[in-house]
Amino acid sequence: MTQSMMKERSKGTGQLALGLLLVALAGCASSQGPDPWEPANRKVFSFNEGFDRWVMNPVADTWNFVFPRPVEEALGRALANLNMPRVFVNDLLQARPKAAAKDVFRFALNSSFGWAGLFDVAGDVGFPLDDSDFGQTLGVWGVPPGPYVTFPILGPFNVRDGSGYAADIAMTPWTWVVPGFWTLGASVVRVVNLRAEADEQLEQSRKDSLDYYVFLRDAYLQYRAHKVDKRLDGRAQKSRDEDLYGTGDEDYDVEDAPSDGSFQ
Amino acid sequence: MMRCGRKLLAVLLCALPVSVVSVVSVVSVVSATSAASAAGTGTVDTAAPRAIIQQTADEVIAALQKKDISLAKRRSEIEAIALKRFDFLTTAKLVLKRHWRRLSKQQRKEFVEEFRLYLASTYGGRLQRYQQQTVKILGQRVEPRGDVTVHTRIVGGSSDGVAVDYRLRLRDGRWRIIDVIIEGISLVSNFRSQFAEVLSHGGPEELLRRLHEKNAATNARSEAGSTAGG
Repeated sequence: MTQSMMKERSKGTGQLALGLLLVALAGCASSQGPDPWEPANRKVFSFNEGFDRWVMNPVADTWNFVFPRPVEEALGRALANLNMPRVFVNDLLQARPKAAAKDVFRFALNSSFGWAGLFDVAGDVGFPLDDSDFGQTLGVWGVPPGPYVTFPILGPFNVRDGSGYAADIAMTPWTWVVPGFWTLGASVVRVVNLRAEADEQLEQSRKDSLDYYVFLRDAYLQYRAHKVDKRLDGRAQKSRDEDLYGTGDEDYDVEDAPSDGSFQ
Repeated sequence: MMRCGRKLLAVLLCALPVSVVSVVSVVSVVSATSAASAAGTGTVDTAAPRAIIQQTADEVIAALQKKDISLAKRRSEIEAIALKRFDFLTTAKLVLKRHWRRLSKQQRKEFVEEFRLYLASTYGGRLQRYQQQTVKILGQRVEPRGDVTVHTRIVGGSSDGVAVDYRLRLRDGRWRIIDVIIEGISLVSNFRSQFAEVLSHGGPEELLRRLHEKNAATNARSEAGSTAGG
C-alpha cells in the first residue's frame, strides 16, 4: 500500500511537471489566432468523433438504459463533491479565502447530510458549487490561454487550461491515496456519466452546427475566457464586446438592409 | 470534451444552439419588478428590456403548458415568439461582421432569411427536451453601446445554476434580443466563428448553400418527427 501510494505520488509530480512545461509553452505561444495547430487538431477531433460514436455512445446508451436520470444526476453530484480539494486549493491560490471557507462548509454539509454528496443540500441553502480550477488560477495570474489543442479522447483544451487540468489531478488527494485502478475507474464512471447525461444534447449540437469542430472550439475558448474574466470583474469583456457588438459607428450599421421592410 | 466540467457539458455542448431557446424553454418564477412598457416619454426606457425577457418567458411557458395542441403546433407557436423577440437583421449583421459587405443585396436578404429559419428551427427542436426549469431574472446592465444586458439564471434541471444573459438593442423603437450569452459563451461569437470558417473556404455562396441545406434537413426531420410523434 505504501509502495503504491509512493507510485501514485510520483505520478502526481510527473503530471505537475508536465503541467509546468505546458504553461511555459503557453507563455511563448504565437499571436496568430487561437488555433495554429488546426490541421492536426482536426485529425484528432475526427478520431474523437469516431471514438465517441463507436465507443462512448453505445456505452452511454447502455448507461442511460440501466440508470434512470435522477440516479445519474445524483451520481454526478457525488463525484463533483469529491473535487472539493482542488476547488478549495484554487480558491486559496486566487486569494478568495471566503470562497475557500464556503467550499469546506459545503463539502462537510454535502458529505454528511447530503449522503456522501448524492444530494446537494448545501446548494439548496445558498452554497452553490464553486468551479475554481488551476487553469483559471493561471489565467487570473496573467498566463495567456495559448494555442487551442485537441487531445485524443479528452477533447478540447488550450495549453494553459490543459496544464491546469493536469495540475488539478495532481492536487486531488484521493487520486494519490486510492490505487490507480480505482482512480481510473472513478474517472471512467464520471466521464460515462457526464456523457450519458449530455447524450441528446450532444447529438442535437452535432446536427445543428455548420461546423461542429469550430462550434466546440469557440464554445470551449469562450467558456474558459469567461471563467477567468469573471474572477477579474469582467476586465476583458469590454474589448470583446466592442468586437462582438460594435461601437455604434460601423459601416455595416449604416449601409443597410432592403428598404421594403421585409426583415422587420 | 469528455472531461469538460458538468456545467460546460450541461450548457455548452448542450445548450448553445438551444440558447436562443432557453429564454424560452424555461418557466419563469420571478415576477418582473416592473412590467412597464416602453410607451410614453421620449427618453430611452431601460426598464423595458427586463420586462421583455420576463414576458417572453411567460409567453413560452403558456405555450408549453397547452396540453391540447400537437407538438408541431406548439413548436410553431414558440418559433413565432422567437421571431417576434429577436432582431434577426442586427444579429445576422453582427454574426457576419465585415463579411456583410461582401454580400450582394440579394445575398443579404437570403442570408437573413436562412439565418432566421436556422435559429428558429434549432430552437424549436430543443423544446422537446423541455424540463420543469425556471428562470430567475437577476438584474440588468446598460452597456456603453446603449444596449441592455439582462442577467438570468436557470433554476432546476440539469442546467441548474447556469447563467444566461440576453443582450437587447433598441431599433425602430423596439427592444429586441440580439445575442444570448450562456456562461460567457456568446451565440453571436459562436456563429461568427462557424460562418467565418465556411466563408473563408467557399465564400458567401457556400455559406448560403450550407444554411439552406441545414434548414431543409431540419425541416424534413421535424416533419418526420411530428408525424411519428403525433
